[in-house]
Amino acid sequence: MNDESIREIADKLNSEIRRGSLVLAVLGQLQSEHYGYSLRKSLAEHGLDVEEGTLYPLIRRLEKQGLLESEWREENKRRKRFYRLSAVGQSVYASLLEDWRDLSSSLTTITASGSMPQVLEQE
Amino acid sequence: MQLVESYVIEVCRFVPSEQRDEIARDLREAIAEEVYELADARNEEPTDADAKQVLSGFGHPLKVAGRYQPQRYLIGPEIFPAMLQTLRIVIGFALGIQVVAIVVFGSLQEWTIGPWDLFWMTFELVLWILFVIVGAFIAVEYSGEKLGWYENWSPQSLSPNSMGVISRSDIVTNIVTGGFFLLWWNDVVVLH
Repeated sequence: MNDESIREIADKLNSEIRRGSLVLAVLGQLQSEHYGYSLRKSLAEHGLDVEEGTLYPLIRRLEKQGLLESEWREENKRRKRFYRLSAVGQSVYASLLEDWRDLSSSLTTITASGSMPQVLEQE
Repeated sequence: MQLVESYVIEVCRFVPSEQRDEIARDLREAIAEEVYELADARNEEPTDADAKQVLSGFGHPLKVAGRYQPQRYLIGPEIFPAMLQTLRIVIGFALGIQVVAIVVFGSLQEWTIGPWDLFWMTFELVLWILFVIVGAFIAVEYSGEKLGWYENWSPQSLSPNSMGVISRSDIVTNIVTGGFFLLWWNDVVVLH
């Protein structure tokens, strides 16, 4: 198996991991208020680049599910829609975060217990 | 910004009609926000170039339309194997019944069929079965029903002398050659 196909498989699995964790990241950032653009920028500043075409539909879905609430306000002479976690969103976020921490600590232990995989070096 | 409007219309053609207006409004706002942020960074009015840049960031309208709705499948990975299994059983039975029926009719009524007609008859039968079963599974997926056989499964239902995995092409070859031979043997299929 060549490097390119390894990369391809890794990318696919990677995007699955990221897709699931993106909700957590967005909910986490929306503990404080953001409008769409500022949310995208602040996620990017934390190393999470999210395409516009992914982020805005996600915000809408989360708002539809009642996890976010939004409000139109004027800022710098422009009307912007500000989002933040709703009460329900807070509870869901807390529960998600707890699960995430459990999962993360399990994964840390599991992945630390073995040595680094040797496969790449053997090829 | 005609470009943005065309983009919004293109995305909204593929979202559920009851949400279309809302999604159009949300998307228009989101794009406008991104465009203005780009322009503000230069202290200028937005241009078509800004719109183009933002739209490339959003990506293909179909992809974005897909993200505005929950992930949907025609037949999802959960029930797909069940569909294959159903198809295998039903097509197997149907082909068996067809062979028997042709043999019986053929010998009782001195009726014969050419190999080409036999082929088309079988092809049509399989096509109908595919149509009905795939349709039924699409309906199951759409309704969101859980399949009872998954819940009611227990290890006891595994047959102890199961033959292991038989290659699919072996089964198909066996059915086709066996059935054809049977028909030819009974003088129902006439090879000339």
